[in-house]
Amino acid sequence: MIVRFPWGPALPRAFSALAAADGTVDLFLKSDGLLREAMVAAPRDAVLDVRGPYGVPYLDRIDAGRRYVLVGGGSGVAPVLHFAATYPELVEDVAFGFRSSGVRGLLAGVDLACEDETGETADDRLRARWREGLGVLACGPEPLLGSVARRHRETPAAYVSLEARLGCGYGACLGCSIPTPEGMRRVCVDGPLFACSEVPWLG
Amino acid sequence: MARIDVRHSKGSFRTPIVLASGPAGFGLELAGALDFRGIGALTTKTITPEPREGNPQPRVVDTPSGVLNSIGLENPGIDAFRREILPRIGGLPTARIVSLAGRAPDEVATMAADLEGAVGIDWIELNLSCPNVRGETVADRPDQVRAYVRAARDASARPLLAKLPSSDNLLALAEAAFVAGADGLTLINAVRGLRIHTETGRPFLARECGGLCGPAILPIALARVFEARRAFPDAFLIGTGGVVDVRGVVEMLCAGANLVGVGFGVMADPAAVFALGAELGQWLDAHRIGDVNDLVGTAHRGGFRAS
Repeated sequence: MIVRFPWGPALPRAFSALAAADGTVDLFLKSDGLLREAMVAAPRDAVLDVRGPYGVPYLDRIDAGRRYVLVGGGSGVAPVLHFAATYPELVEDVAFGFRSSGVRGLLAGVDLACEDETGETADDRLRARWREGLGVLACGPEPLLGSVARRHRETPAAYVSLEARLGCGYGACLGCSIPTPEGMRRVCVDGPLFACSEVPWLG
Repeated sequence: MARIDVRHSKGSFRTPIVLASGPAGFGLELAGALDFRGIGALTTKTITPEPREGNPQPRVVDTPSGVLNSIGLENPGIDAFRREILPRIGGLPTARIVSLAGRAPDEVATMAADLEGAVGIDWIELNLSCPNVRGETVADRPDQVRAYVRAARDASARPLLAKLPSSDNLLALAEAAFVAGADGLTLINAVRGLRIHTETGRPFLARECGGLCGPAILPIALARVFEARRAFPDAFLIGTGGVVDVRGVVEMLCAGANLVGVGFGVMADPAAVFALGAELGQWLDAHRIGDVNDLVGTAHRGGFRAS
């Protein structure tokens, strides 16, 4: 979904839902960038412009006949945690990683690797936990997605959830266009999920 | 109720609100959700002779009070536009302005001629000022503007707009456009800008510099429209740059614009843009102004009290 502070930084930002139920949506943000700084500093009960959701739901894009290792790096865990809660039957294992263990208090009960504790990363966990026959569904910073995509280019049902800097969010401005073998695609409405084979430039 | 339609000898517009070229795409994504009767005209993304993939990522970065963008004229090219897109925008209940750019005058002439028989086009806008394509499509000298406009004028009977940059040479560029046969001007394009990532020391955008749009450029656009209106009292002007609310619309009209383009606003909050026409009507009623056309250029006539 697209979130914007009417009084804050000009460009709206796209966020994935960490959870959504009963008319509320939980977001999970890292406080960097102009918008996120403003969001973290917002008073309780602040009113934001929110629109969406946009894009293709993960379930409509993936091979739903497989089980997946979910990969989440940093705030990229949000959509895969949401996926795990919604479709537990499609989840074989998780590979979640953060730089700092300070996040543990926010994600109680979630199996996390924290680099400042063990040096282990989400990608390390994926290497240890993925095996032939399983799918991959990854969201996180570009170096992580690049590493995942490089190894799983030939894997059937390996997907990365991209986060280009969006402009409009609804497919018109082409701020988020990326090249694919089938032509230019918009991360906001054609994505955010792309098969690793569709993004040969990643990694 | 005040009149908010704009009448011009070459065509009329339901409201003064124009979707500027770029952020709205071809209007197709918006058409499903919003009512184009609130919009005076849709300007298409700029079309070039051949398809263009545009610039690499990242293309967009936020700035305080604006957005720096570097899309690079991604578009399907004139043939696919004619074949696949034009039939779909022809039915929208608004005027259609097709934006064209070429690397040389004969390229825009060929495209303009190619569109002569096409249905569903009301105006042509020549994008002579895209800040995001290196060494191409930028007409910053009067002789270049004259050559592009004349080429399109000779090739097309349609009403013709020249979209010019915010330049200290604006009046000379505008004069050249009118001499060559332009029916109006669109002022201004995005303003060249740069942001640098403080963690890497490198520019944010893949193409380094981009075009700044959004509220940051409203005063710049107002000043250019103001000086163009003063120099060309009878010209047809679309004022574009940083307008996001009805106050900006009123400012742009008072500065001398006949129509008001909105670009960044369509990206940030499209529903708000589609409500601007109705809000303008309410504003006019509250200020006892019966016709939006009477507001145009008010700032040159001593303001409301004097006019």
